[in-house]
Amino acid sequence: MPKRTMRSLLAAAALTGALAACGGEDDDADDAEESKSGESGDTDTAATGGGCPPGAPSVRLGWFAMMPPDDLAGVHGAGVRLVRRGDLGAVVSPVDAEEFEESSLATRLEDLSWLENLARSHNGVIDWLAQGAMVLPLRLLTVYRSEERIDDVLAVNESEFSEALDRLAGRVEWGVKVFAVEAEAVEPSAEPPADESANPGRSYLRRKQAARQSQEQGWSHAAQFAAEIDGALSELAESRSQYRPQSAELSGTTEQNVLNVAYLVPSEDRERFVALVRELQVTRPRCRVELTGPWAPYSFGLAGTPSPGREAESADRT
Amino acid sequence: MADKPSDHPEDDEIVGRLGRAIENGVTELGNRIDTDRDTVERDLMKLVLTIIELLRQLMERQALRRVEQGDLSDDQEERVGLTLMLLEDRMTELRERYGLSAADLNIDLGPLGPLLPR
Amino acid sequence: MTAEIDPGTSDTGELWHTGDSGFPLADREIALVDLLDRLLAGGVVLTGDLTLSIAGVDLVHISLRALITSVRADHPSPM
Repeated sequence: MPKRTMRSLLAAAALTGALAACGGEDDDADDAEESKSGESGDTDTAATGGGCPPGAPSVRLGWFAMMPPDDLAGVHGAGVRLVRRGDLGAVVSPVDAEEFEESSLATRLEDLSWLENLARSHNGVIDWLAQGAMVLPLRLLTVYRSEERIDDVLAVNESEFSEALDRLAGRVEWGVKVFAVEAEAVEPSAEPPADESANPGRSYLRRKQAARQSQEQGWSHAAQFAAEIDGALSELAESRSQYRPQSAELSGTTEQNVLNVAYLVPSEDRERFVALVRELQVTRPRCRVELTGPWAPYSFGLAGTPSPGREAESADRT
Repeated sequence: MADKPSDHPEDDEIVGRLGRAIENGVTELGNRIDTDRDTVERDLMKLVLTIIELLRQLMERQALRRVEQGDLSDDQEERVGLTLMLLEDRMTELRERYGLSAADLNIDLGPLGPLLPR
Repeated sequence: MTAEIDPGTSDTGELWHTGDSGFPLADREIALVDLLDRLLAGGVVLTGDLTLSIAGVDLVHISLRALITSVRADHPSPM
């Protein structure tokens, strides 16, 4: 009795017209025996496991539904496969139905190591595919019962996906975060001045107050810098999507994150954008600017109501 | 969300009582747990201390707010301040005893901190 | 209609992730927080067959214990 599996959808992708026409991919699949390692040498996941059929033509994938590929780890090493419909493709990976049942998932989501594993393998697939295709990443844990369902999804959303892929082609996402540099902490064990020893409680409160004010000043400076940085980068970006400030706890940092934004930037403007970020940091040493990317366009997919955690997506600027 | 500066003369008493309860509770817990041997208990201690540190910071923040608003008499200020100061010392002691830094227990209480409204 | 996939040569340019230094990072070095932002709050939202909504997942509230015991390398989870 085969284990019941569902299909987890990773991303959507557009297939090139040429590929759809020649259909050579399916033929090559049967001949595949060896892994084609080093195809995308930057990511660990691409080099593990089996391999893509040698000679398979490049695929422009708009959607990634998860199916097991031999080349990529996919979810829990199950690999990914492609579900095609016309010139759209969905990359999927099979997942165990029991593990991904709603009730057990709620618990698993609280397990950061499980979640991290899932997130990294998911993004690994996205990044790998994005090297050769226009990718529309999907939210984590988009799961379907069968490939037929995914085919339906492709059919139903065909025009929206095509529109999104056209809109996003030739663009990459950059993440920019601004942090308030920590104000100097007041030493709790510092000796209070002699003349304050008469009222140690009040002088304690005064010290704390002073520390807090200095910290708040630091924050307000950082917020101001953040606004300036955001303004400058928005000029170069085509679109902007804001995330909730990151928890210091989860980031493992002591600094306060005051800005967390994703920018959609045309590929050809990449160097200008990165140079601008560096320049903005250099001229503002009292905050810390962190750049991540390029990412596949996670933050600029289908327009719609932003979810909690993602606060706003500015209208595209033309 | 501004606090209404109403008259609550008993607030400093609450701080005092809460502070003492926390101190006693933590002392008890500390006495019962031998964290040299058991990492599960050590993690538990860390969890407990984190929550207590959160409470301590909450109380301190509230007290500072009251001081700024001029809600407390000099005497109340002194008492609240003393309680908070002693609590901070106690927490430092406990932290050091279990090998935890302030950062280990720090729950983000900045203006954008998700656990506390401004 | 299923097929094995091979992205082949890149049209969009090499993808890499950078930190402040600007140098590409290996996959493992992408910060978890940045990943989770995008995977939990970003990405296209489809109504899957799974009815669990993760949009409301707030990591800070998930589990204090999980945060404390699993995030920091120097305090590994006992599990």
